[in-house]
Amino acid sequence: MSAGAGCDVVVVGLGAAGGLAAGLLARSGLDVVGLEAGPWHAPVEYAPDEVASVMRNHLGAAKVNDEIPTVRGGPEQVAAPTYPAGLLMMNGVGGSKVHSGQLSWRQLPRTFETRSQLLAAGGEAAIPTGSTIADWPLRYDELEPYYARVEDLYGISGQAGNLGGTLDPRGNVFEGSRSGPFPLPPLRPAGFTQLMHGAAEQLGWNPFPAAASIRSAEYHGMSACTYCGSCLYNGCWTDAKGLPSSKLIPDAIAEHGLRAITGARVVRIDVDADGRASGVTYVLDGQEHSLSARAVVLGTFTYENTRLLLLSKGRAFPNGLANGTGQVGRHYMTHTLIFRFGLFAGTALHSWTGTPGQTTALSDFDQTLVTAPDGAQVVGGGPLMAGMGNPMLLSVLSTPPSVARWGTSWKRWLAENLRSVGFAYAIPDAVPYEQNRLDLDPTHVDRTGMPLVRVTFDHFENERRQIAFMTAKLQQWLSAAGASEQWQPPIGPSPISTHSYGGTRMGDDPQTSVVNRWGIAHEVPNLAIVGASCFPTPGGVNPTLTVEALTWRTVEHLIATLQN
Amino acid sequence: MAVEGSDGGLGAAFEAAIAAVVERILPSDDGTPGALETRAAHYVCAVAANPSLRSLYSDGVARIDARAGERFGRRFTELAGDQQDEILRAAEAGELGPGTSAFFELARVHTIEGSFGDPRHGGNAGMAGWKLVGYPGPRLEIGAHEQALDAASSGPMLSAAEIEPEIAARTAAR
Repeated sequence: MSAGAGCDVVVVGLGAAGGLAAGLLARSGLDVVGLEAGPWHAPVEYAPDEVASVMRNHLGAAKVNDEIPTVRGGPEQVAAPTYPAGLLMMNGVGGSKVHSGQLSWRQLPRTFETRSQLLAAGGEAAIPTGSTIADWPLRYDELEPYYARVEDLYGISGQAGNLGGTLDPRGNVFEGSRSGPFPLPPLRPAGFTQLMHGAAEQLGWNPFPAAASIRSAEYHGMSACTYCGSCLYNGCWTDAKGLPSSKLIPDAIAEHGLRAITGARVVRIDVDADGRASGVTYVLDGQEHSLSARAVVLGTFTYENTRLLLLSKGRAFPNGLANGTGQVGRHYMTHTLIFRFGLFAGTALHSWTGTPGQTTALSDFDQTLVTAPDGAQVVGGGPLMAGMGNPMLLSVLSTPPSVARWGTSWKRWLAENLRSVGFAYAIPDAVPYEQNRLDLDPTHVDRTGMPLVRVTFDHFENERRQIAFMTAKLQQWLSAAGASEQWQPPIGPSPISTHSYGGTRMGDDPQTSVVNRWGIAHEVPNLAIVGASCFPTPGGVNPTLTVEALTWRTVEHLIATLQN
Repeated sequence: MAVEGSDGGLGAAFEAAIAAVVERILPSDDGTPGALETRAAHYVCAVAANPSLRSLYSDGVARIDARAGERFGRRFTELAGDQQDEILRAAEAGELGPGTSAFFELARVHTIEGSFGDPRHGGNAGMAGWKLVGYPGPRLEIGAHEQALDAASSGPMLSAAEIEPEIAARTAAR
């Protein structure tokens, strides 16, 4: 073991959360080291090759294989290892954001007070049985300035729908009030997104182009989207995605002394005799190193945030760091992906071109309570979305159940219809339950011998009703657009997801949360935790922009603390 | 007969059985290109030689051959197409023993990769799979007019192998 030099702040992970944190902390003048388990990636690794990217997950397999959770449906079951090879997770500077679809949603103001809204609507009876649903300890207005800063930093493309209280029907009229417009206009529409836009209007809904963390034009020397059609499960060859690896981190290294160490896997956070974080231990080229720091920022994926805390034991924390009240790993949630295909027979849609960021969306059903087809009240709506950039091989794998899965008739169907398949989807808001959680697997370990994280997760009555509700809306939308046939894959719980939340919940009460309203661990005053692991509830939208806004807010608080 | 160009060292009989399976999944008997023309078997044999997949494939082949013997008194490769289909349907349904459903699913996915994936991996010969379904191949840029409904695609059909040097050249200056 070698003991490295100390620094002011060590940041674990250089993805959307940690990468942003490291860049901002260094920019403030602090001495910062960022440790990233993966490498720097180069544009040639992002060649448009779906066998490599979509099928083999060549960018993500290393992370998936190292941090792959085990899964069980309930606490009475034994968890089994899973092989979600296609999971959109990757190591590397820029993190999993490198190959995501880049939808860039602000949470609606209602998301921050889900519990209060439920109580107001129906008292305790409105809270789903067994749930631990909570309000956020902050409100939309407190996060709005940070949303705006992230949008300006990366050049987010979108159309404002509520500018300072003035509604603009070209954008999302249900969004919270914005302090300013988007820095770049929305990505251009495609024939299919225009078709879905028109269908939504015909139904009396309020469609708009979704915001994307993909630049619709060059921005501060950063490049623009070419609509190539190869950015889901893949990085962007021309670097048009809003990533910390494009400019923020390189600038912080060049101008502010940030030390970004790649290939460095952190194995624990070290704790001193007073119970404060004293730095981290990491493995680089098979050698253990320790690095001391005045503060630690934990900014890995949801699974790894919980795993590292539980693996960081000491005299002060026999059950894992910041886990004195047993809250680490609790309140785990994932989005249910409700994905529905439509065949527009005879019309070429070219869904394999463009990017998932080219999306028509509508938030008419993004409410705390919605009504299911059977009349039951359901907790958690969300937007409906229809977009482009669906990998061609995934289309081949997603044929309708009315067609044979192989053989001559299957081949004829592909030849006639593959170019005419479009899709719409929803990822409704999720509810945390007492039973759904993360912990360390008692038997399964990774290749270095460290325990894997174990997921205990299932759906309950509310989730089954959500699926019915959203399916009905998607069906209505695709029908209005003229789909000649519709189908969807079987939809059930997604125990492992790239939209995974909780494990280090944010809250004011240390008995029911891990970090405080600033993202600082209740029990460890110099440990900040950033990422979707802190979300009390996820909203019905893609997480990354909120991860980034929350990270910026936490970093600003940490800087003020360290400079005092 | 060994699959032409395969270097997996799986043995001729094994490779012939895999080729027969792959060519029933995406047949060529309707006058349009199928797995035979895309040389999907070449791709699938290479993948099946991977140590992590080899036993799943060899067990699967053994089980379909066993069923072919019981049912028709011949090897799987010696059967008529509809007889092979009957056995593959049983494999798909998991009726030929443990692992046969997984074997069939894997063969199906690998046939898709070998027919509709990038030719640089050894399948999709002549980009026949892409031509079959009207996919124009990957691009570095797509114009607005190419995303209109019913737009015709233009330009050469390229492999990622041909696009990579272009990416390197265009991003080198950064």
